[in-house]
Amino acid sequence: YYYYYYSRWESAAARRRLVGPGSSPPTCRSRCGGCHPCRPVHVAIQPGVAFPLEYYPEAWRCKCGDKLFMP
Amino acid sequence: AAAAVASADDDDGRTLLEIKKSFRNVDNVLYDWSGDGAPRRYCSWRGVLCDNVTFAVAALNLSGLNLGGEISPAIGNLKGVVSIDLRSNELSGQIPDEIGDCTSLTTLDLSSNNLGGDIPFSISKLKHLENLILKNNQLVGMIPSTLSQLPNLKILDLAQNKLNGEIPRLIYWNEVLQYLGLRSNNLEGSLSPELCQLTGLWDLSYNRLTGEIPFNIGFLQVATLSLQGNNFSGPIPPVIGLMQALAVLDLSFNQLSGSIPSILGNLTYTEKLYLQGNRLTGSIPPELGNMSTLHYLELNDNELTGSIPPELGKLTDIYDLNLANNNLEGPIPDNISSCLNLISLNLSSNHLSGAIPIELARMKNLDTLDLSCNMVAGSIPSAIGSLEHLLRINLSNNNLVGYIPAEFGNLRSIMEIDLASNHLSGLIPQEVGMLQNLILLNVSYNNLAGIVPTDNNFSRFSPDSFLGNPELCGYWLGSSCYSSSH
Repeated sequence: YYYYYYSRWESAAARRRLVGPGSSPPTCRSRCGGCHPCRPVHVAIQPGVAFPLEYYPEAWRCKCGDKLFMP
Repeated sequence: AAAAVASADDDDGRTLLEIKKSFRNVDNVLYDWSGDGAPRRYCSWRGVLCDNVTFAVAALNLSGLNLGGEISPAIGNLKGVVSIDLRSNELSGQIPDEIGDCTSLTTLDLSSNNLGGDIPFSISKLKHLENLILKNNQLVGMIPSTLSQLPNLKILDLAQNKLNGEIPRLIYWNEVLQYLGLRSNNLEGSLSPELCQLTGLWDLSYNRLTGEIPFNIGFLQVATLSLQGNNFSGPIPPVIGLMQALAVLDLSFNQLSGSIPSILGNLTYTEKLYLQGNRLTGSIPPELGNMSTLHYLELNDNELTGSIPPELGKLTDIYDLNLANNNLEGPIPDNISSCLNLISLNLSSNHLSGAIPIELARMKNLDTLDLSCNMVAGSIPSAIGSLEHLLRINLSNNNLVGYIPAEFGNLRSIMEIDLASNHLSGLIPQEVGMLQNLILLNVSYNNLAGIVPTDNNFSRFSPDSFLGNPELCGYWLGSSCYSSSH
């Protein structure tokens, strides 16, 4: 029922803060546990109760077939 | 020791009955919560989950049961409870301070109730708390700065309350926090550059935040930037154009000024760009045409000038293009018709001139076409009639001449046709009278002539729909030919 957002993509990206501003989508290289092809996609995150008429924050996930993986 | 544990269990049963006493509307849903003295019977009560070993209440899930009344301070006696879920009820009153005594809690979800008062500081005693979800209540006061002392807090969702004051900056430094939901409160103050410390998702939209958007925003590693509905002023920092991980950029309904940075065209992974409802000036950067995955582009209600860049025709994935209520001039570029997936095109209330490009008829998915309140001239292309999914067409308040095309009769889904205040002449085509779904028709203030069709329930449209056409003969009292035809 709760989604968990933390990902290695975000923490690795946080380290890039030392380099300079800006961000990129995750590469998703070997992030789908051996499944190919593994591609970055946007997914809507619904924390807590869903309310219609508002869009949800979107986050990046890695997708292979119909399975999602953390970047 | 075993006896001591057993006595603690019996306490939990008594505590639950005490909690029940503060609820209202319980007869139907908590009828099995009764004190018949059987040991540990409460472990089978509705919504109660007990620990396998200690038989202490581990979880209380009473969501969506229409419970009224209040949360009893007795809840603090549930020392072993790990999860409390009372969301989607009608609970009122305050969150009791005693909640801070439920020291095993990892999840507290009281969302979608009518809880008022402050967020108790005692929540900061819940060192195991991971999810604090108080969304959609009537909570007031400040966000307790001591929430930053919760070392395991992953989700803090306080959206849709009436919280005021500033966002405690220490919260930004919580490295474990994965979601900070503060949407729709009355929060004040400016965005601290420390905000870039947040590694998870956050939503600060619809508050009263002021000041400029800090440069440090560019260090955020987020897919969604939701700052809409605040009072942010100053320019859009160009550094946002480097945030290629953005899927959604929503800065709408603020007081942002200056021009749209052309570097935003770098955001080639962004699907939603909302900048409407600001004070943006200058022209629309042609570079926005490089945002190849864009689905929604809303720049309406600003002070944009110049012409519509033909490069927007490169946005082949776009569904919604809204440039209404600006000061745009020049023609509607033919290239716009390359946006073959466009569903809604709103260019109303500008100073656009020239003719309606016949190529617009290529956008077969179009359901809304609004070119009203411009200076569009020429005649209405009959090819518009081939837009079979069109639900609303508004060409009112322009300089259109010529006839209403009979091909409008092919718009079989159409619900609204507004052609008012132009210079249209000729007859109202019989075919328009055949449109079964039409609810709104306005052809007033043109130069239409002939007789208003009376067949197919055409009379459902009031005389207002036809006013201001001196040569038009209608079925209503006072029409130019009313007396002669009756």
